Amino acid sequence: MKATHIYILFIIYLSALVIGRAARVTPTADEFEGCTRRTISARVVDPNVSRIDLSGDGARLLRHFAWSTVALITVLVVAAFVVDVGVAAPDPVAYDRTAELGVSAETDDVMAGRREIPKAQVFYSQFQYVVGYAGIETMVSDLDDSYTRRQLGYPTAAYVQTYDDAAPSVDDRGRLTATGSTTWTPADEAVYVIGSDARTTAGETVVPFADRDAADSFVTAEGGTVSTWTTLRERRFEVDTAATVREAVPERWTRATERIDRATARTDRPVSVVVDRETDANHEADANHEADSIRRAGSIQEAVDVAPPNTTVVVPEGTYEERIRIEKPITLTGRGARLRGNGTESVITVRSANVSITGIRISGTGNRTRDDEAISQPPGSDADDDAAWDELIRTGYGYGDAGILADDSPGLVVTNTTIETNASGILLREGSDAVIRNVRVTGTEGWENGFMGVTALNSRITVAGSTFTGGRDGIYLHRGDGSVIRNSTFRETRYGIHLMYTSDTLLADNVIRDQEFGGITVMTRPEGNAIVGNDIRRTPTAIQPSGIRSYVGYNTLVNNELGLSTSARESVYEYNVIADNGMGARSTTVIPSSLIARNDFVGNDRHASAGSGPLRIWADGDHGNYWEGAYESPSLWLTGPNGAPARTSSGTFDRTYRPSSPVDATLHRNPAATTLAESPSVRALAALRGSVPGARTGSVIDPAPVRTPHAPDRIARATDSSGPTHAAWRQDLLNESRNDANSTTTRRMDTKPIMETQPMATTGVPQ
Amino acid sequence: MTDERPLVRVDDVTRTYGGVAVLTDVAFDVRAGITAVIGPNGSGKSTLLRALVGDTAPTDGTVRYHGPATARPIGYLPQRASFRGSFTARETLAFYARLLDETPDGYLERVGLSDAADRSVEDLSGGMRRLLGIAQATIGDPPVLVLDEPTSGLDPGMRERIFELAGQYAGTDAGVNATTDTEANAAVVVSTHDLELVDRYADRVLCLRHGAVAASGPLSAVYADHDVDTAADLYRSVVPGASSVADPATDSAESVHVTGVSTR
Amino acid sequence: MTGPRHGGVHAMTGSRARVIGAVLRREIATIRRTPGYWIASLGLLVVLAGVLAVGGGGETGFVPTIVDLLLPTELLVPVVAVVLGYRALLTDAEELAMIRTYPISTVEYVCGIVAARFAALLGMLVPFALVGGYVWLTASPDTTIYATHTGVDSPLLFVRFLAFVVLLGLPYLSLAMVVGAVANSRRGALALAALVLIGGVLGGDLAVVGTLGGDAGVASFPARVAIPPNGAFRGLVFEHVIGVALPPDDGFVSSAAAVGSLLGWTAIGVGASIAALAFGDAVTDRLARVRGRVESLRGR
Repeated sequence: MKATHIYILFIIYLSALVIGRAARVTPTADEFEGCTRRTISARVVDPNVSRIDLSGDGARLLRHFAWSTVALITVLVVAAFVVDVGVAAPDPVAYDRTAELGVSAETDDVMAGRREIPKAQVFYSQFQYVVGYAGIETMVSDLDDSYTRRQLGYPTAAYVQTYDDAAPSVDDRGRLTATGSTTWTPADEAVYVIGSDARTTAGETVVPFADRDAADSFVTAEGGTVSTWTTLRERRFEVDTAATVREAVPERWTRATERIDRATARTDRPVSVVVDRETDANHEADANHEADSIRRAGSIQEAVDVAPPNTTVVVPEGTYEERIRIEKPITLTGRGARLRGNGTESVITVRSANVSITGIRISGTGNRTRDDEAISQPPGSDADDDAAWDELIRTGYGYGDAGILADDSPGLVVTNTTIETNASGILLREGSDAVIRNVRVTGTEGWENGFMGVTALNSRITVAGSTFTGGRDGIYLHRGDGSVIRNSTFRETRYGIHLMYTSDTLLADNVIRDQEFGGITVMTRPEGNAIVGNDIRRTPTAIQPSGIRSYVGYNTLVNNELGLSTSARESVYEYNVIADNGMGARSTTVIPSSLIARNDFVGNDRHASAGSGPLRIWADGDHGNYWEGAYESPSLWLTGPNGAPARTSSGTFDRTYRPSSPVDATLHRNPAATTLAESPSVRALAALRGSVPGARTGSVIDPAPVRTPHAPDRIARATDSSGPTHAAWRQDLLNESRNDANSTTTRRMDTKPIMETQPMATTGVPQ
Repeated sequence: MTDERPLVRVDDVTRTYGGVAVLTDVAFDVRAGITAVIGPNGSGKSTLLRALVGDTAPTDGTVRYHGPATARPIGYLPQRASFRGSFTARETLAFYARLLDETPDGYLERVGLSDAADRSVEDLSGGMRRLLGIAQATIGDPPVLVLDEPTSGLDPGMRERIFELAGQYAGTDAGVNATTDTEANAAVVVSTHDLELVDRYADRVLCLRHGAVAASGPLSAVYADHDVDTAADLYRSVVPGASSVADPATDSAESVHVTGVSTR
Repeated sequence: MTGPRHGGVHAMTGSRARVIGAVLRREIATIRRTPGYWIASLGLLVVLAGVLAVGGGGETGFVPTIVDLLLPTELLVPVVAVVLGYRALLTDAEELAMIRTYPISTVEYVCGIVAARFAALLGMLVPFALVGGYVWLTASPDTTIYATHTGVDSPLLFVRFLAFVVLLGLPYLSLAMVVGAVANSRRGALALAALVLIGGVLGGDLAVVGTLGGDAGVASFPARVAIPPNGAFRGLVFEHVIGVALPPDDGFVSSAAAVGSLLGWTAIGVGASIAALAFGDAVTDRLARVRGRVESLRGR
């Protein structure tokens, strides 16, 4: 880019030199500059003519330079008006170099190359990065979005990936596959197959072709109709959005409740063996004869070994020093039992489906946390690196010591159990889907020494009512799609909840305090996570989501260094109370694509800031956030006879609030800032910013700041006490008549009603 | 000094400012040689000189130039001529010289400022500035040179030098220019209060009183008419109540100027 | 001021260009040696840099920079131009009297001064170019992870802006010069210059606003907007710079009317300056003459 500039400048300069030389020999120029040596007056003989003074005769070089400069300026100005700066259509770029929006490319199918997502790339007039869209539908809806236009400008060029030579087909699961290579075609020249059998994880998908015949043959094979660019742009598509995730939140809660209920039911098995250390080996043999009565076993392991499947082994009060291995579906129930390992390896190892462990205090784990080699290499950014990282985590993190280790053991239930661990509390791998309820894990002091409260690899977990203190992460999930973690407490770990490659989770109503790094941290690029109703305090970064289409709502974030990072794209951030943090919320995504509205910002040192990227507009149409310090323009200060504002007052202030501006940022801490904010220069600056699209590094505005907080009670409790505060979000999300039912809930999903048929969970809400 | 055709003929010039006459029916001819214009402050000397160079239009009457055709018929040094302080002497003159497509150095040399050519105007002494002004007035060698009180505020030596220069220019003395043709015809009109110098250098005298000509003509003829021997005596005889020549101190401080609201 | 007013032949020994060139060079030298102009230009740079720093547009591209600079420009360029212009023709009478004895006409003299001041205006507006250069050097994507393109943002857009900035300065400069030619004291010139500034920056647009309610046609509106220099400038910037970056849209102003307005005001200023110098004294003289006649008649 810079090289081109320099090249152009060089050419211009050369032409200026040429013109300058030409201009210099014209008589007019000579006259004007007076460089001709005139004959000396007969009367006044001056031998000293060549001296440089005001009478002219300046150095030739200088004159040359002057004329070159004049010519340069002329050429430049003429060029500036002759060249049409608005039209030049750039060439398409490699897709992995675009700033991407749309369907996540991280689902297993896509990563494995088993599923194609038709892609597009758009060049916006005021956005320096090329925007890539995974899914033509996302691009189409984005092109018509007024926020897009305001933030990125208008599209100057758009290309779509066309499948003419790629032998596209749709498999029986609706996956679009291709074997050949695709090419980039200008979007308005391509044709599009709509309504074929092809689908993405987010919904229906459009397949573009450069050539009509290729499209027709695809239609013949896979159905659908061929459409032009013009008609495509008028279509609306059924595509999942963050609003879809929000809708799904109550359902996820309910499903978790059902899982817990089923787990509870499964755990309740008839007692078959009771551990009795007085029992010797002979007794055991005796016991074997009493088929219908409860047997006794001298150790837990013996009891487990002799217990028939689907029965309960009872461990009476006492301290047991052994390591257990369970390889059949039984329930191990402790009644005040303490189980102490020998300080090596895991204390209980599970290798069977449907094992339940309840009521045991576990300690004496080994201190091997992981395979150090596995974490010696950081994850890279491309897919190959991802796969390598994935393998390293699986083998490295999956083979440390734990209080309870489960391998390929779906249906594990751990309840009412306390674990003191030097490494992991519960380590789940290879599909060990587990319900963890009323569990207390105490890790090491100093997170570097220990490991996770729960380490779950390729396992879906349902955690409720548990407490995790100390150690590395409270819960670490690696490919734990669909997991639910709720009503749990996390204290003094590195990250409270840490998700890697994990989508479609629900993290709700947790209490997180005093983390070393982060409260809820989502890494990699997942989709569809819901982070709802958590109360997070005294933590460097309370919530840091990532990926796309996440729902972050109803959280209470207090006294953190950073309350909320809006780092997940195409997501909804709403109804969060963000109070007394160093920085309330920070926008880090390069493309603004999320809805950030209806949050309450109170008492933060600074309410919000943004990293590089275009202007961020944090509002939902005419409904923004509550910002302590936002105020009305003075023209509306005057009140009418009845005390009401003289002009019609709406729910929002008429004055745009700019949390990223130095003046507005101090409004809530210093009322005098109002005086400064009304200065003509500050107002003029403010008015200019945001009036034109384009990259405005670090700018956040809320054009419709709300007059009163959305959750005043929660703010009061958040700032008055350190006790947990949870929003009644389930009622809200289920209740069609929400506070603001009239406003659009998200800009991409503005017609669907809030889901109302899902029954409320009535049982199994722990604690 | 022979009575040939005048270089400039001033014909019944009247000039009023706000209804007050500063000059009334002044008529005289400018001829080659030095013409000294004398008279009390406020007698209209400056206005007459300004009318002469065309800077002030007469309310009535005419000023006509009859000299040789040249790019610059009349050179002029106003009483309070100012030059741009940041320019050197050469640069100052160069600008004026360039207007006539000439170069400055010869003119600097003529007034003896060559050594100070590269000093900035603000660093020059009052006398040197006056010399610079004279050099300016002579650029293009105009047939008529008009100097408005060039000696005011200067020390006696410098006054003498100024009149010497004027004499050289007019060709009445063996000056640098005495040999050339047009020089014989050059006229210098100089207003002054230095009556002693008038005696020594002037060829003609014009005495103004209340804006009117009180005496005019070749020095000797005017002296004879008024039965005096010196300009000072002439002054006393023509200007009633003037016991002596004007005090040089007030001379430099006060000015007869376009405002023209004189003591009358 | 057509040389000495006597009947002497006005010999055109030198060409007009040489005479103008002499005035121009002296004027430029004078301006260069006046610290005040340097300081004014430096002040402009400081303000622009400040606006850039506070506005933040400079970090990301030319169009955001121009948007940030638009308002300060509308205020500062007229100020700079007026500062540069109001004393240009306020030289003292003695100097003019001397110059009048040389073969140079008022037109030539004023042209020389005007050319020099225009050149000086270009020089004083260099801070704008510096700002553009700074943006060119520094405005770059914040990350190299992504492919970048310039979008509709180009140094050429900034060059257009610079051209309009100069066009905005010209009318203020030339109108301020009229002030110097008309006023007979520095204080008077200062007051008149302030009047030009306020009238131009505020009054012009307000006057156009005043016509909105009237019966004036809608069709002529794009042209009427361009009548005051500031309106013309703003319209041109919207039309040819910022408008290019916005969704395709135009009609902010009639370009021809805007350029015509800016150049027209400039020409009016130059013409009025010439007239003031050429005929200012003549009017006084004529009045004195008429008065003298009247009094002489009365005396009879």
